[in-house]
Amino acid sequence: MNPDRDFDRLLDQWFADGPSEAADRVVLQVADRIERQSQRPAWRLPWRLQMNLKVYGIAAAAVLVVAVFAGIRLLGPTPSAGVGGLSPAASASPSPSPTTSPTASDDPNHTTVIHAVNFDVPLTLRYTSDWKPAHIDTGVIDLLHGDTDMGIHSTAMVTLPGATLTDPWIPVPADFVAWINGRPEFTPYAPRTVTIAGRSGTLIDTEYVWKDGTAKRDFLRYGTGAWLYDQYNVGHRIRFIILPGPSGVGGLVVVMNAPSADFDAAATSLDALLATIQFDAPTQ
Amino acid sequence: MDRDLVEAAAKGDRAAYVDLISARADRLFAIAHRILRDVDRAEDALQDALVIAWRDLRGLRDADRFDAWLRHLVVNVCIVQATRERKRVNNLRVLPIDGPAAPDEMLTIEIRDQLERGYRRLPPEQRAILTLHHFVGYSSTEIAEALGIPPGTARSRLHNAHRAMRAALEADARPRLVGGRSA
Repeated sequence: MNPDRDFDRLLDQWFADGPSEAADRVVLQVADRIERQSQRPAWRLPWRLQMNLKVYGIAAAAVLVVAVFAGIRLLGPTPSAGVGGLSPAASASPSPSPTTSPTASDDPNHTTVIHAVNFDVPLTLRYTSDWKPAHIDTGVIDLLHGDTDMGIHSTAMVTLPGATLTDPWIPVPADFVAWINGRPEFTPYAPRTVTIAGRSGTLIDTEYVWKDGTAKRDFLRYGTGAWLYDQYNVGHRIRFIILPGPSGVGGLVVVMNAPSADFDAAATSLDALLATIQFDAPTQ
Repeated sequence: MDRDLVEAAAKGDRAAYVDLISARADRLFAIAHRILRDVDRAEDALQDALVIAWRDLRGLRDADRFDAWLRHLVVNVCIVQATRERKRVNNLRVLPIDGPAAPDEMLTIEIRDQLERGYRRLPPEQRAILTLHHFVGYSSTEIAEALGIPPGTARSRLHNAHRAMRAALEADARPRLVGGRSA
């Protein structure tokens, strides 16, 4: 008699007991949920599994998503919510059409309103159906525009790599431009000043640098997820917008990663989206 | 055939993805249930894992790895969910034993109850390790790969989980031996 083998057998039998068929509703509900779930681009992989759970577990409490349709003037015109200095298209974004179609989510006139209450300063934004929600959680709104990935992050939840791979991660520095100019991952263009919802911020576009043998790594973490730097970013361009909050609270970091060929169109659409942002609290 | 479905699903074909998971739902549910020991929670975890898999499928580099990748995802979601549950529930709740009697006299109802109690006291990762070993049939090397831990760590954790389960049985048996009364 071998006690270990007997114990193994005992456990084998114990584990064999129990239900072995999933209820049909499991697959049906998954089929229903993925209808509203976009796929993440391959270059944007989660760095912690926990973030995945939070998408479904916390999102409902974190973010109040109100889908409204063009013609419902929930927010009305937002003359103070412009995105200055981005591109001519920013000011030329069309007004919503009065057409309403609750089921036509691909209707370009369909507008979704997100009231993100779990940001330091709650904010509201509107996006049209060319953007698809990918990940909405505490302090993050992640939307996809074709192969373009865009995240709006609470600055308080963002950390960036230190000077070397072994240095600790750091909060978003006051001089973000100096930080990015010192990063080996990027070749940035000249920064520009932008205005979003009455706040002044810094926009900087950059190309990726990738050399054979470079190790892939995160280049920005936002508490429950990260933006990944790897060879799949070659041929992409990235836009950062750093928007400080009043008195250092409620700042935003916007990151958009787009294939170079799509960048201009995505940037135009991003301008229109950012122009709809309104903060719940006074910004000044 | 499945490789084609995986590749189609990775390109956004929802019907292909539903076909894929329909064929795997039973087995994955059984794994989730063995870790979580609760039908509702196993269903919830499986649903979450399958939605996450859809969302991240484009990141799967090798379609032939789909089954292993999906299984690992389910296990990890279960570990996270079980960890969260342990933080929320102070007192362990032992569910009544249901279902048919054990097919082998070795596994009496009393022993099943003892195993159940001992298992529920284990940390979630040890539960997952035991499930992967005794239910899925993984070796310690495969467990290491699934959980992203070194093989030596997987071996020692499997050993510790066995020891904990054995201790649970012995602890439950001890009062009878000493006091002569049923636990």
